[in-house]
Amino acid sequence: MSAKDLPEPLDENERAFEAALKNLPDRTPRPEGELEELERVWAKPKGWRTLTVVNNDYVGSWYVGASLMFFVLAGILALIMRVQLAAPLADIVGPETYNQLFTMHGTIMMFLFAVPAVEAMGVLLLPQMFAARDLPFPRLSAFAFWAYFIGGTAFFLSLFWGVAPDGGWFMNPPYTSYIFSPGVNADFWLLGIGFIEISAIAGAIEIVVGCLKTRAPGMTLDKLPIFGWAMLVFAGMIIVGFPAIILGTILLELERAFHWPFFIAEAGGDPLLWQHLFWFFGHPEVYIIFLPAAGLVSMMIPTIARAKLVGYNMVVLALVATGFISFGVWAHHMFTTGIPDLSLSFFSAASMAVSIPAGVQVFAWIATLMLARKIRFNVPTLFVFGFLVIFTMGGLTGVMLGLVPFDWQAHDTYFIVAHLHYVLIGGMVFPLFAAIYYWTPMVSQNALSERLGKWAFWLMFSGTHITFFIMHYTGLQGMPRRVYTYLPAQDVSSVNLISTVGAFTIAAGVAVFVFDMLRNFRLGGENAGNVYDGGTLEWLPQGDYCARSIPVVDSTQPLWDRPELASEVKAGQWFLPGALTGRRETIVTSPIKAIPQYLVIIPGPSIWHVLAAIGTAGFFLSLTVKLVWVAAAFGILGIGAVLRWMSEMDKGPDHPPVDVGGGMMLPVYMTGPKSHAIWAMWVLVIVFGMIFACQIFSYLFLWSGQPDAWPPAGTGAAATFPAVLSIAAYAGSFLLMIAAGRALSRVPEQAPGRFLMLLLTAIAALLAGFGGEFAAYGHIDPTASGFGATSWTFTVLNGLQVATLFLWGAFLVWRTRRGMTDGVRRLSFDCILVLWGFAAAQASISLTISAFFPLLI
Amino acid sequence: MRMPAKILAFAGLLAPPVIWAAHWGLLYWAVSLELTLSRTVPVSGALVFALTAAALLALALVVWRARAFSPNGQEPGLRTFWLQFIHVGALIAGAGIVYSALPLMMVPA
Repeated sequence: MSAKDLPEPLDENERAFEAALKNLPDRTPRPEGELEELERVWAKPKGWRTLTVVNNDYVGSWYVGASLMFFVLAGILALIMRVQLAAPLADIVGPETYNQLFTMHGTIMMFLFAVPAVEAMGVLLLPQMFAARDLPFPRLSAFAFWAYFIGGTAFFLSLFWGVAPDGGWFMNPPYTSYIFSPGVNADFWLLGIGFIEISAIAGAIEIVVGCLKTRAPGMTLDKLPIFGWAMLVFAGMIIVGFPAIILGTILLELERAFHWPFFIAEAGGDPLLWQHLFWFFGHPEVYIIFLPAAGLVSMMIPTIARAKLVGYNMVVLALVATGFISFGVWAHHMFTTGIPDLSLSFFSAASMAVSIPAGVQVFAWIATLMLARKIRFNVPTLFVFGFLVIFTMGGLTGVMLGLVPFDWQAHDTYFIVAHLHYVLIGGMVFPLFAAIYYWTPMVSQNALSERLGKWAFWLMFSGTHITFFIMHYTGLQGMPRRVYTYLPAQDVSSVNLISTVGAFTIAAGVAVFVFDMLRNFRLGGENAGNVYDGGTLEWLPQGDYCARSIPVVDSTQPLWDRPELASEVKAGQWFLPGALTGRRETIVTSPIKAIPQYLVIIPGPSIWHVLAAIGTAGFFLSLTVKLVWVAAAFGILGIGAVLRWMSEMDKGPDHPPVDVGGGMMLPVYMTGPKSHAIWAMWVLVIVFGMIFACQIFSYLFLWSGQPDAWPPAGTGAAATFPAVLSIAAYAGSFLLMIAAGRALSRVPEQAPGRFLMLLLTAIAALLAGFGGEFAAYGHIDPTASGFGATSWTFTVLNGLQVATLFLWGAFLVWRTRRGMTDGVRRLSFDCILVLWGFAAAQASISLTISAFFPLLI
Repeated sequence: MRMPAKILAFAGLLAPPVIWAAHWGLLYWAVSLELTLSRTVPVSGALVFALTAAALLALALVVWRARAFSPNGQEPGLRTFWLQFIHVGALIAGAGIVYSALPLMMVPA
């Protein structure tokens, strides 16, 4: 052993943790009334107030339930399409309705079912797998659910008014722009996606911070349940990938509403810009839904095989590698758009590479199953085996489509439809159903029926093959996708009929599953327990408070390795056996070694996040149907509810440090880099940074299409002098905020007057900087050219930041004047400072590009 | 100024895929720039070679310094996890880097 390998000395927290471990489990009797107090604190409201619940088991279950509702609804749309296609020249639905059906089917399945379903599984399972009381921002999860549920439902209902989107789930312009789609149909798509963007980002923040900061003590990263790793990569991919579609939807809506020509070639736009933005998100999206599903499978297979997962480290590496590689393959959806041969080769190579980490996982699962002495073929096992078969078949046709010449032949035929359904049904639906059967006993009073489950599996498994296997042939025969009928002479009548029979077979399987759920799933009360004999922490005895006490973890399957752990936890012999501060709380741990750092107070039930979701949904819905004043009212409701919600946060160290168990004392408030709120803020800033990076890409992409006309004749670049002044104002505002932070440190020993003066001056400088942008861009018409449109988009993005900071700054003034923010209770300020710095940097970079880049080239 | 240990550890863990991604992104931008400015492909072979050599060198450095990136506390499993992740990750990233560069060298203009 070299000197480098000697363990480093322990820090203060680690020493306290080591000392506490000597006293745990604590077998002395627990104080009377401790459990009752814990139950009282974590009790869920009853009656209509159930809607205000934030406990992760309820919100997670609702979330899964809502996503399954959308799965069934989108499935019904698919059945209508299959009836239409069962015979040539059928007249069940016309072409316009058919267009809406396939658009809604794809959009709902991808955005309202797949992504929310896996995110919901994260909300439902992660706290239990970490033995945390809850995720760190439960109201954020609940807000994400309500925004998604209300917005998704409104989006679906647009079908009944004939205003549903009809441009395909990827909505390629120019077809979906204002010229060819003048109605509100495309706006409803943008609306629906807006909701899922909000809830996905909110969920990603929750999951990143939850996975890194609220694990059970001792659960070092090499012991993190694989599902935790999968969700960490999932959240990372959302943070990197979703900004592209967020920007894309902003640009398309700007083009539709204000005629800014981002995608109109004759005005200096480029329709391929949309495809780049969409598929930079759209292809990783497939892995965004597959990786959590793979994580679920990696959790279930050890239980099925009664053996620890083979190659844990390599499976984690495969998850991370998939996340990275998936961002380098987007243009394989664009092989037929005329991109250069070099790009074809480049993206084809990357597309092939992604099969390697997927293969690593498949072999790890097979190897684990081979260790089994006897495999019990219960329902989760069947769905996992079905997943392996169907997903592998879909993966193989994916390798075929990665070959450019084959893709040219198969593009936009039913071969693609077959491939993507094999991948998505195999890679996501079957693991999800396995997971629902496997984890239902964790939240429900009853397990689901083995007999009905087997019926559901065989119907779905056979139905999938009957429907989609033959579709490869249909595609090779040349039948195009997204066409509402076909001719008898095309010789595809019988294969289409077979696919229709298969679709109804799948539907029968889903119907059996729904019946089983209605009959057996009962939320609340005592759960059915560890019926499959799993070895991870979610199978500890549960109450509304999650596990009674938080154990120290020293393996990946703690319940197998320490059979007595469950009873010790239930008896309150580990950390945090009661509600120490009389409020909802959990232990925040360090991100790598999971050493306890502090006790975080978690917000409880509230109406404010529900109202915020209603305000958000109402705002976007009203705008879509052009009810501007109603939208303004909803906007005020939403912002007001968010501010009211925020006013309950950041209460400071209003309780002395507490003994969380074994004599380990932890503070109940934390500022600075250890604070989970600061971590969340940085995650949000990365999201904004990615949106901005995508905007820079858009600017340069449009330039690359017309480098000799940038700016176009008769238009100038952004004026340099106002741009420089504006940059100075933005930078000055940030410097003023830093000075304000120093002044805040002296409050309450000194009056907050100096702090408030600096804060208000910083806000004024920020507004001046934004005003300067109008002077810089004033002579550029955003409707005249792609150059003008993309230049002004910088200001739109900066304006959103400025508006947020203005509102937040005003809120901070209010808090300070009421004595709620000072040198100790300063988390609100520290968070805004992070965003302020980013906003100033973004504005400065964007102005530099707009003013000086055209001069350089 | 020393980088905090936690950030250094995560930086090391993610360095191999980040280097692969950076190499990929730089090649993509180099090709795009070449196409925009001169309307010709492929991009200069010397540039591709230089970027690829730099990326592989960076990977070699990460592997060489892997122990410095790995948490070194009382949990030997965590250190093993970190070292395996960096070593195998670097191997895969290296293969990916060469694989991505090949089309740029092999596809004719």
